[in-house]
Amino acid sequence: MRWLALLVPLLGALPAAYAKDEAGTTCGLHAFVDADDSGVVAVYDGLRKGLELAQLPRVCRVDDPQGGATAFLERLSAQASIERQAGRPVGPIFAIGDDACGKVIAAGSRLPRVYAVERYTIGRKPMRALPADEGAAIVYAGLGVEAVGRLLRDLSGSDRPSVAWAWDAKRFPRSGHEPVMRFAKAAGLRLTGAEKANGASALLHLRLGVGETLLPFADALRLARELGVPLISDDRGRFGQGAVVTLVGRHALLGRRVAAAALRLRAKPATKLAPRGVAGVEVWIDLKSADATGVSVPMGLLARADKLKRGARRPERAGK
Amino acid sequence: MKRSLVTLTLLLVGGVVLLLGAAVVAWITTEDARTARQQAVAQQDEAERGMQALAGELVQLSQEITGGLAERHTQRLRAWLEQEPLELYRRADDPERVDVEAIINAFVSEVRSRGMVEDERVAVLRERMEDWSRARINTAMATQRADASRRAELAAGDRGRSLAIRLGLLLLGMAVLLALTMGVLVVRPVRRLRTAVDRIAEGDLETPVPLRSGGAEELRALAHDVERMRDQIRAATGGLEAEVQRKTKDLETTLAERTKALDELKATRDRLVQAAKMAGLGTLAGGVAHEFNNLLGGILGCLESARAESHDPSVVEDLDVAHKTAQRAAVLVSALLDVARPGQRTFRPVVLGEVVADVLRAAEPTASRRNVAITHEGSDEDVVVDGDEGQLHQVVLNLVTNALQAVDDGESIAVVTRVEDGRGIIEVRDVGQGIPVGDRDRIFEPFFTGREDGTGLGLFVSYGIVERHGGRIAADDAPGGGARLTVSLPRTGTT
Repeated sequence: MRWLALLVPLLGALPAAYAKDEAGTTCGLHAFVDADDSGVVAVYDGLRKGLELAQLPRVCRVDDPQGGATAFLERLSAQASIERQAGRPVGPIFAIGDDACGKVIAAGSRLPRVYAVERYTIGRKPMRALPADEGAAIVYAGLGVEAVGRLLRDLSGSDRPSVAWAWDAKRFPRSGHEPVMRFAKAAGLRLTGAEKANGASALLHLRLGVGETLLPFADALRLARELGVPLISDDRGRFGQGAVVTLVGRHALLGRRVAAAALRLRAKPATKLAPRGVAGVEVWIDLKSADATGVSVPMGLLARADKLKRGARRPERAGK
Repeated sequence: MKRSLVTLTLLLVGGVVLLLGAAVVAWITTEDARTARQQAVAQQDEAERGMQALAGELVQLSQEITGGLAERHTQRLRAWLEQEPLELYRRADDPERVDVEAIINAFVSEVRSRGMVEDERVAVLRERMEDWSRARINTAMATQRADASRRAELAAGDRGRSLAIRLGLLLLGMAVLLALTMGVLVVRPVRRLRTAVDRIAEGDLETPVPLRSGGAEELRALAHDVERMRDQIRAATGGLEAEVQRKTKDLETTLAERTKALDELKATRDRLVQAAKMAGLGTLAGGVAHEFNNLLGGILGCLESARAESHDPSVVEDLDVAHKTAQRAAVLVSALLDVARPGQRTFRPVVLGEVVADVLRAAEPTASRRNVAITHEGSDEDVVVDGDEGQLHQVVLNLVTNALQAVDDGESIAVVTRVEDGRGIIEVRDVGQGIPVGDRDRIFEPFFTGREDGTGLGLFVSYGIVERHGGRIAADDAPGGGARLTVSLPRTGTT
């Protein structure tokens, strides 16, 4: 038990390892979250709701842990050992978003962990997968490429619409070519670079894992306005900021799925869970941005939209 | 009532314009009304079709929206039930069991939250639908207005073209009627008048100029003027023709007289030439004969003297032969002297028929011997000429003798006496070989003969005798072949 005495000072430091939520409540679970991603934040909110439904401990975001992610996870591992010896369930830790997953994977922690990401899928297969190993659960929100293609066809009225990608072609990595081409082929699109956007029916501002080569949203919006084409975004946080159409994954449901995965990992920590996806993409349409861009959205597409942002009434309404 | 050309034309043009104008106005009015009705019906049909299409489009769109809304709502709820991790809903008192009430509450909450979103979405859609419908209706109305305006412009253009065509037809009808009228009133009378003038110009002054009624007064007056001109020309032409006929007759008479005189002059000249030639020949023959006769006189005297003195019978015989020959020569010379020395004219009336009859009686023995038929065709009256009966007898005898020599045995000779152009004619025809044309002027020359035993003096002597009687002797072909010698002598009392 001597070594336990040695752990006292360390245990004394444990409270510091527990992050606190917004209300300052001590949390039993922790989540690495890409805080700059509104979708990830929505997933996190769904996670909290799910944990609440499952009557699991509260979860707290670990935005910037003291000593870094690796040190934090080591401290969590020590805490988990105590908890296991006490016969209480452990964890898991949550990594929500690509950056968060990268941090956890890089730390090499063996704690039960749930990776939650958003992925474009062709059929039911995600275009880019995370490593699945023992004690890890992978849950992803699948943005169906086929649904994106159907949306663009409805929007343009063409069977094979020509679309421009809001990426800096000069900085575009060769490694990104293959997934982009797969995406376009599955969606039935003709691709052009942003510098050749004349004649395109839409400008895509989609995060397809090509990192920093994506044009800043403001630049993409300006280009779309200049071209008079709708800007298509997959960043739910940009809805209402200029994108005519926003493709949104089912983040809340994903969050609850993450909570369900946590429930399973707590019951069987060493279980190797197969990756599970939340299918479906919601279409949000901003009619105000459409009016500002000078784009007319077909009524059929409006009827199928999951969320509409009211725009200005057409002048025909008055006096006619 | 007299009508001038100008008055007629004005009346006709006015009448035609009024009639056709009234007809075209009625036509245009009727056509315009009919066209307007058709256009109105077409526009109404088009508007109905457009509104039906728009209504159909709106209905289809509303159905799509309604269906889309319901479908999406159902899908979302079904997806929630299917994808919601139900293991999260555990009972607090028994974690192994699912809290159904919690699930129901969550579902109801989801439905409510989705319902709020749907309400907002439906409101937006309703606004958009309303705006879109208004815009479509306005567009359709604008299209209808534009179409109506375009149709109106086209109709105006069509009316303009139709009016132009009808006015063109009006003008064409006027032109045709005017042409017909002018043809009846002007062209046809002018043509008739021109035909009459052409007839007059061609010399037909008998056909009167048509003065039928109809046409303009000016043309009728002109026709009367032409008719008056035709009468004047016919009158003037009638006198002129008579004068021309008289002058022509005079000229023909003069020409015949002059031709006859010229022929006579030519004959006279020929006779004079022949006479001069024969006179020369006679003078020459006479001179020779005179000298020769003197010599023959000496020769005959010497021969008679020598015969009287000779006793040798052979010599006497020779001398007799010489004397006979000399006598024949003397006869020839005497004949030549008869031509050269006509002697004193002691003519008495001679009946040519009788002379011919004497000659034929003398020639009868020879003719009978040769079985040559000699016929005499005399006239009903006696042909009497002033002349020497003996010389005339010699002439006829020479001619009959030549004819007998010209014909073969069994052939015939004809002698005709008659009066022609106041002269007595003796014509001897045979059926022999005839006289070659080149020899006809020479047969009257002395010593010209076609026979080996001829002297060539018979016709020469006959020519001289006839000339002394103021007559003419000529040779030509007899009708039916052979030669014909014709002697023409002035009748008694005509020389």
